[in-house]
Amino acid sequence: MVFSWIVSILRPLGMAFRHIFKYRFTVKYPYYVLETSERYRGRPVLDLAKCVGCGVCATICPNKAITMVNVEDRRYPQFDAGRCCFCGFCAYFCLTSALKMNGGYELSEYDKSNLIYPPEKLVKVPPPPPERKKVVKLKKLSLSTGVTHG
Amino acid sequence: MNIETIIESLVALFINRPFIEMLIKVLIFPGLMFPLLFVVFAVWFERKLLAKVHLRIGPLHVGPGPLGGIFQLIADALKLLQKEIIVPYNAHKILYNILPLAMPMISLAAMAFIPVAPFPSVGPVDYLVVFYTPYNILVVLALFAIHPFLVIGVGWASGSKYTTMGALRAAYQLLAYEVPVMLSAACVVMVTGSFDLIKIVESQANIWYILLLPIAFLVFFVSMMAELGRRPFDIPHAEQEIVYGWATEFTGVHYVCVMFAEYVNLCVASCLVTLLFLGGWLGPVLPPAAWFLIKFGIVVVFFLMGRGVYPRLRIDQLLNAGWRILIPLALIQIFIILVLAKFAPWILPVTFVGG
Repeated sequence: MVFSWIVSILRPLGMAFRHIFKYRFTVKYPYYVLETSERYRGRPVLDLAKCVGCGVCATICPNKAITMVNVEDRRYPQFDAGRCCFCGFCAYFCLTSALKMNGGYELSEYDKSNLIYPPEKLVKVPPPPPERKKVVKLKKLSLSTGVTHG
Repeated sequence: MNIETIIESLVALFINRPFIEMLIKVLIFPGLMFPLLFVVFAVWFERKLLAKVHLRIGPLHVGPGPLGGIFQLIADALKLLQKEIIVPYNAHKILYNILPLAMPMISLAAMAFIPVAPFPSVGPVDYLVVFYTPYNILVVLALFAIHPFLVIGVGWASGSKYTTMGALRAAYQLLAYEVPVMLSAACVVMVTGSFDLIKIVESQANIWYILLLPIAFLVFFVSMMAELGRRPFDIPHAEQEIVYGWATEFTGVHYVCVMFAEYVNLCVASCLVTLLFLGGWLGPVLPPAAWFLIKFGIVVVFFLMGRGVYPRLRIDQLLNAGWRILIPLALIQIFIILVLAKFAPWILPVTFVGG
């Protein structure tokens, strides 16, 4: 009994000392970014040459995040990132595959009006920021258990 | 009397070896500078160490490169010094203002009696200690024992229910750990036959007391942890239960003083453990002060580690541990020493008088 009591005191201490030399889960975010998973959706990106202006994306969008606007006598989708729920229906139902989800997830803005993406802004693929040092991969990722402790 | 003779007499007064040695002792190594730097380093090191235990990174930004975050404490202290001192309406104004300022003074006073290493000097062997007395372990433990009474006084003087509860908890905790501290220190004193920390260290030349008196070391370490109020025993603070315990009402300068006193106490306790059980500055090759700092650092790591590993005890569990486990263990250790002195006195470094 005394032995198991002593073990119960010493074992967590040993585990703590082992943890000191292990992999750390924190990612220094602005400088290091996590690699997104394979099916991660992010915000949609528009291909102006393919878009026929049918408006299916605006009709299917559950949150009314997409509205159709006129640009030079043609209709194009306008995207509101503040309303988007990133379901991906717009890209899925797009007749000509003009809309694609490309994985851009850094959508924070200081001004609310910047959250609305008119067609010419929706075209741009979000570039990786230049000061990024490297992309970090999650160490152990399995579909059944998720991220496991080192 | 012309100016040259005045300058010469001043030079003779201040530029001589004893005065400079005294300055080094008081201001730099065991004196003022060492605890101050220790506090800055220990807070940063504690946060980094706990972050590593939790698989995090810890403080990162304020400071250069791998020492990232080391100036965070200085930034925090400067911020706190600018803040308003709020005295609660119910507080006892005089005690509320005086007691937190007295805390770091008493902690630093304990540091003055701790010998750290032999001083490299010509002539007779000198020690790096601010004030030498052959009873310095008694003085240090007595100064240590004042701290909980200041805590109780502060808790009462703040006039808030949380501080009062924290103070009462501190009083209960005092009952649990003060006796084992004294008993386990008494083991070392019995074996050495002296109250002098220098003699205690020098009697460990053959075998450290952590090997000779392992039970006493265990009892001393655990009850010192309780005395410091480190994590498994931080019952008087207990953030989740009583806001911040006896220190709830403190703002600005008072809070800085209270936290500073806690970390200086950690420094003193680590010094005591090093000197009493780990052979102090004894060791081969390296200079004695370096050996002292190495052992001191290891003890500090173990003190800090408790916060990352163990959950807080309840007050009744602590009293049980104190009275049913620690005190009997210390008494068993004393009994073992007496048996050794009777039947195998060659193990002990000093022969007992009448043993």
